[in-house]
Amino acid sequence: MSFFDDDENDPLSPPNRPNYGVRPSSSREGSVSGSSSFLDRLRSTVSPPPAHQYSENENDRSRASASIFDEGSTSGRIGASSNLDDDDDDDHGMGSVFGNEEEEEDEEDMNDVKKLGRALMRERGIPDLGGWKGELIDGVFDKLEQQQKMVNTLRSDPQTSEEEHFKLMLVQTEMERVKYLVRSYVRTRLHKIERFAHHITLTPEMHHLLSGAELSHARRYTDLLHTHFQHSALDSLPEWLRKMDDTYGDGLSMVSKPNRNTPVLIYCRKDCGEITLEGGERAALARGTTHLVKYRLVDRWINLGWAEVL
Amino acid sequence: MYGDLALQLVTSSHRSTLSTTPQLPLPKYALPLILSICLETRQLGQSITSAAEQHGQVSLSQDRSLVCNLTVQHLSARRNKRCLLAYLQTRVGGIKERWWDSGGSLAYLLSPSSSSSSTTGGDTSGMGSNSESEGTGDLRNNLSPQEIDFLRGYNNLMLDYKSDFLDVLDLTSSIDRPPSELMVDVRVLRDAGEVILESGERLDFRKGERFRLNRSGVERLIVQGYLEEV
Repeated sequence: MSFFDDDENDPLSPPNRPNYGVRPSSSREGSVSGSSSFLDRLRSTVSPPPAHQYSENENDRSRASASIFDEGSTSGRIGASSNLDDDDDDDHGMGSVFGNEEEEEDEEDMNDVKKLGRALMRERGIPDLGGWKGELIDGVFDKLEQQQKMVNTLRSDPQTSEEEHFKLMLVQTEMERVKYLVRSYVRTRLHKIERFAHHITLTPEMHHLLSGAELSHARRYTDLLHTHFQHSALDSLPEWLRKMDDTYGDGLSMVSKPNRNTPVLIYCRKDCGEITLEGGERAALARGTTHLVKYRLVDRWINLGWAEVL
Repeated sequence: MYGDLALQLVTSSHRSTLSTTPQLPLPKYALPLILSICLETRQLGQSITSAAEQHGQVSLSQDRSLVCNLTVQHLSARRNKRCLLAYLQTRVGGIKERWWDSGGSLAYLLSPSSSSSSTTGGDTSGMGSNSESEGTGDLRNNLSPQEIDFLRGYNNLMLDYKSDFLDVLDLTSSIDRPPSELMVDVRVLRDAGEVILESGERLDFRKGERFRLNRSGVERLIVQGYLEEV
């Protein structure tokens, strides 16, 4: 939990920007402030400070370096790669980063890592299966790959100084952390998919929530499980007992479905209006409040992103 | 009474946490019990069909004791089926959990003793193995042939699924906690033989030695109990 909280408040990767943007030879000033934010980062790995602590004097810088994986940093990386050939390009590279970055902050747009963290939180919080964030994952993968290439180039570059090697290590750690997020996200989904595999294969309405690979996994897993059950036990039972989709006398079906009555703890990011509870009571979901309600009642707010699962 | 055996099967599986705790050895597949439950269910099935045939439609609507009899038998048979599947499902869950815990390495999971492993191919003697490896070591003995088939099938399924991601990340490595460090200090617990790391380095892991290595490169060996984080 605390890891994701870190994500929210504390931009994961301030060290990355100075790493590429600042070459000691070209801009003295940048290098100094770069390394001081670097030290902050180092301390923060022990105990992460709240974000506003360095937004005081290094506002721009920490924003600029909010993440390696957002749109702005793509241009930053291009600037950085040209650094390898020509140090004078530095300021252009940095400039373009600042520009893009600030626009994005104004739009309250989130970078990919934040989005990923949020997607993971949601996926873990809700009993149902959320939509597959294919674009996001693809984007993150592309960026991870680019980043890996950058790291490899810089590592094999003899000009890279000792200090920069150290920074590269931080970049790599950062990448591992992002990979961890992706892994958790994918595996959380897989767990749910396997749990409800049969239900998913039987319900075409759910298919759009899954990626192609996930859907075929669900189908094949259902087959595999049923074959296993058939061979282990069902084959030795009378024929009328061999089905896998019976409904019992008490209305319980053999096909397990997500229980949409599971309570979820939500935090309202926006004003979500009122909901009617079971007993006919009404409850207002005001902005900034936290509620423990049945998932069924608030699923559309969660899907819209107006409410967040905690 | 009908369903006694099934009850025995489910309660024992429900009470024990062995099958769902990957660190502990999976209990042996209760084959004799399952066979007798299947037999009981078949007998119930036969008795239901023969009773229904003997009496025919007319008496079914009139003879209340017959209806009652058939209902009880029918419910018992269904209950038996349900218990059997619940038992199997619990074990399937445990098996899958063990698969994930071992980092998706089937050969390691099914290896008869803790000595050989797919990653290294070393055939050194596995002494000083910890409880986990002992547990997974005799996993093969505790699984039914069908369960081994299932595990293989699941393994193939996951290999297919994760191959989409493999150029960027290994889906099966641990998600216990977020990585905080790139490098990790490890101590070798068991001889693992010579291992070629991602960077192209060759390392000979001998028991008792200590290394400082790239975490992602040796994650698997840590999971499989060859190395221990210091």
